[in-house]
Amino acid sequence: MKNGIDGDSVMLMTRMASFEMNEGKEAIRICNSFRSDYVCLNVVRAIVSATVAYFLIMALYVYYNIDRLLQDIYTMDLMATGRKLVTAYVIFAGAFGIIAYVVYSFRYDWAKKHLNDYNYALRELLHMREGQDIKTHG
Amino acid sequence: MDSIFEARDFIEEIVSRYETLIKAAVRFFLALLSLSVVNSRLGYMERLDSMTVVFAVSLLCALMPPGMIVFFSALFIILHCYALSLEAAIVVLAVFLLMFLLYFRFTPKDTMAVLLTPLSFVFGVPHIMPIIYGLKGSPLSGLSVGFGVAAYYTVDFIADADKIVESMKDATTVERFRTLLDGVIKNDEMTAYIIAFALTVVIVSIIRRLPIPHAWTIAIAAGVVTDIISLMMLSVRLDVDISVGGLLLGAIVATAIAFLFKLFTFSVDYAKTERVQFEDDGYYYYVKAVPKIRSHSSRIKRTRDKDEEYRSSVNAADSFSDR
Repeated sequence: MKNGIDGDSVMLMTRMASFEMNEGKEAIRICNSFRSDYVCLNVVRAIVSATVAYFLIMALYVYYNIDRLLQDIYTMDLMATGRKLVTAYVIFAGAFGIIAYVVYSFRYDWAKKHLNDYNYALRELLHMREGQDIKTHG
Repeated sequence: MDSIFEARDFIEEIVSRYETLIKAAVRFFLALLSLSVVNSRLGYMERLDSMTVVFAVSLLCALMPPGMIVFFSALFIILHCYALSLEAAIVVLAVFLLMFLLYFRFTPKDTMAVLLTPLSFVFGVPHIMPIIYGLKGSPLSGLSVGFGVAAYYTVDFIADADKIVESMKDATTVERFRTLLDGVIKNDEMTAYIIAFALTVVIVSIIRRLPIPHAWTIAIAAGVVTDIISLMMLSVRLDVDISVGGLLLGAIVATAIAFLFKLFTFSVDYAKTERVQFEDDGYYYYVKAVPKIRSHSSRIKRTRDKDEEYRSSVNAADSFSDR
């Protein structure tokens, strides 16, 4: 203890401030929601992205092969083609949803772990302060 | 070697002191470079191909997050393509949209790979990108570098596409679209670079994380070897003409830059100097946190200081016990 400033608490506060400045921003933002809300919202967003991407790929494919498709349209089994397209979409969007679920669950756990460490440091700081108060006031 | 460490410490000190200013300047010059390269390679839209516009947009990018440089570069490319032909704009817009929707939406931090990889190709040092992203990123960064390669070859194809569009004046829109899309997608050289670079990123990233001594050095060496061997094998397999001399020269340059990067990023101290502000009931604190291990000379100095401290404490203890 020198000039009323405690070195240990300054070190702890510095580490905490550094966390708040860097990865803490993201961790706090993520942990503002419940795990299920955060993961579900991002899975839904991923499926929307996959849907847009799927229709974009389909549009490019159709435009690229427009001549052949127009020729074959009368001989084509439209029901079978439709089933194939829907199956492909379900697999594509489903795979994206699963990847998003894994990625965002992992991110939430990472954020939670870091915030737990931060809360632990916060409690430690509180104990230090209480110890100081007891020393000062008896 | 010690002077290199001192130079690094000096640069770190300057960067940490003027961090905000330097970051803005880097963003400005990166935007200036990127937009100038786009204008010089494509340059189909006269209104965009002016230094005033490039300068103004670069200034804007300096004040915004780094992702905006990628956004404005992509916008410039699409507008130039639109001036060339609507089909070219549709093809390029579709490629960029797919990249964003399927990958970069999930890893926004890796977006800069789409900008830096094409720039590395323009400056003739593409082999450095998989090594750097392997060192600083995760195995998934292989996809980011792969998309960067795709972006470069897309722009490279469109840069020479004016002759194709000119020759297909009488063709239908669908035929022009088909030719342009084929030119962008069916490019074996691009495929070879995407596979080789992605493989290199994965290998460098995995080795760098191994708990073995000199992991970073081994990772760089393994990355360079993987890059050379995979590109040679793919050039034979896909029948692509890749110059072996150029490849080896590129690998040497990549190794040198990778070691320089390692020195500044991964060498001894992991944390950079940080300035933080906080307060408690009694004080405002403005703290500068400096990494403990600095250059070799300052380590020696610190060891000497500690020796002296130890000796004086021993002397003090001796004199106390003599009493």
